[in-house]
Amino acid sequence: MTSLNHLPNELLSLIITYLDDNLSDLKSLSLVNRRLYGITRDLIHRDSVHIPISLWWDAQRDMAITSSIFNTIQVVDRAANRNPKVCSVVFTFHVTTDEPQLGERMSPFKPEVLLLLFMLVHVPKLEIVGIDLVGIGKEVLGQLRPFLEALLKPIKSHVLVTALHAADTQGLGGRTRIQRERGTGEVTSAFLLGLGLTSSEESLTLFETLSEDQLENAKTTTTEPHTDQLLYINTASQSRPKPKSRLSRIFKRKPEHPSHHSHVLLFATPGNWLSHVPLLPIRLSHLHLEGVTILSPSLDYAPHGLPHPRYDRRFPTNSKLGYLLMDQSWHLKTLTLVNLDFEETVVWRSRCGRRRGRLWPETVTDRWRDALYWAFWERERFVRGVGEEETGIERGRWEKLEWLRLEGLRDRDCRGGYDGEGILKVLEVSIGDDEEWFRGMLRKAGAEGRGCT
Amino acid sequence: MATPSTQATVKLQSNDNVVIEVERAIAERSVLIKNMLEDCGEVTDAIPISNVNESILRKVIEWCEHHKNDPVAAENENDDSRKKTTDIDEWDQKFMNVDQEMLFEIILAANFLDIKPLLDTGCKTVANMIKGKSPEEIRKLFNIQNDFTPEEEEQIRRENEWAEDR
Repeated sequence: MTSLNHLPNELLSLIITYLDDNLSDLKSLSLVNRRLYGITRDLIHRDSVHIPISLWWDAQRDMAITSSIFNTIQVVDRAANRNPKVCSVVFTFHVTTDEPQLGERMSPFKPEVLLLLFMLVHVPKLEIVGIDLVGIGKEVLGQLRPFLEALLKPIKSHVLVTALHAADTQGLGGRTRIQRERGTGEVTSAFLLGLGLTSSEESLTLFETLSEDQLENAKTTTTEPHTDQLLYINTASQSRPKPKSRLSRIFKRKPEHPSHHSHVLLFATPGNWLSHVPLLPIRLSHLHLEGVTILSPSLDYAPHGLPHPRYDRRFPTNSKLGYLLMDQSWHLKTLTLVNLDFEETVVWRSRCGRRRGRLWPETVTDRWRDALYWAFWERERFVRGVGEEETGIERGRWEKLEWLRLEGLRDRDCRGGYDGEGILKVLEVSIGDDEEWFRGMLRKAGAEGRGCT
Repeated sequence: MATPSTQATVKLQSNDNVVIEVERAIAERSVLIKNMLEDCGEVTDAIPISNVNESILRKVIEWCEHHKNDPVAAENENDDSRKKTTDIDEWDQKFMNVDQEMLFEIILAANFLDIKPLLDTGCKTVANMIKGKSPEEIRKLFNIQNDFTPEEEEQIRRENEWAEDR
């Protein structure tokens, strides 16, 4: 029987050209089998080269790499030279416990190795150096850090350094990516709170220990043990971060653990903040939340919602996600909100019977509407908010957005939720004349039109 | 080069030896047949279509009949212009609404006969089937074996994590 397998590579390539603008489809295909991986790989990574580096590690001895790294680097170097468009070089670290043979073992600090790596990160159009530390434990990282610093030191200052790590090594997902310019100081990820936490209580406890000052100034606002994996590129200065950092792919649940949910707290709000939430001045270009529960999603201390300082005061939201989207609507290039749950509201009463916890449950009946309604308010009718003139932002809201995916938006409070078309109906007043734009964005992202469930 | 023929019909012979007579204009939707006729002039014998069986050949002819008045794309037309959209017109969608075996046979036949618009339609149909699906769903849909080791799969996932920055 003739099947997809019987098509020659040229025809498979032709089929794939019709997916070329959709990276997630290409990624799916690359994971189907080796043949499709071979065909899709160059399309997916057309501007990047990957350098896998195996580290042999034993607690009692110095870390080592094998001499095969020379071959790897030479192959990658040739690929990088063949393709003048290469703009990112990604180092992927693995840890192995299989001791290399004596002649093959070498220190990662061997000058020849560093020189080769140095040459690699000097490809003419280099914009990004990636450091993939997923699966690297804290102990190994301690030994690896000087190597990383040696690797990153010669990189030109305009190059963005991206670190990807898994805060949660228990298989729950929770990968974090921080990207910023070399030379900037603090990790600028106030949003990245609650890394790898598995319960609401745990994260709330964590934040109760933070003062407002800590929240504003901490390199990262969580004391989660793996956090310092993010700090190794923090050596250049202690100045305030330039507002050019970006953050992407926050928490994606692993499909092999469907019963587990990672939890993410978008940000903590210190005390009764009645004017606006003081988020750090970072610009996110990608926000990807998938398969997670958003903890404490409401600004409970603001019964009638808070307006964002750059928005008209008539646009108050009670939703932290809504606030975050309003904050980043000028910057986001991609927004993916897929299979998300809003945590069930914990309501409890004080001894005198007074309602505590979520104090004003009647004010927001639809938390997803609240999260998206003002953020996507019709752009033409958007009135500039207080202080907007001072921000120096010339472009309008959502003008950079290239990708919008909204699917499986659920709320544990009402046991309901939305998919693409469903949320569109809820927002139709909000988006007004932008409906076609909004619909087109959803269509582009392949959202299926299903109503409120 | 042979003189242009006024022949109104041509005979096509499938690989299971069935001869089908079709209008020349319809057969010439195939660049392979068109070139052959131009080179050979009058052809009275059936032209063997060695890679295509009767049912697929009839299906391809059906498509050519429906599209016989479509403008023929220029030889060197930029491929990008064809690839920009995966929209398929309604008739073609119905035409391609066949089982997978026939769909892939049509694609192979269109490739062999060099009928680019039909090949594009077939490829778009397959691309649309793939869109939005997970690797497992794609494997299931097309009955493809996963030949990765778990380590290889994890490695590819890690590589892919970086692909969104371009």
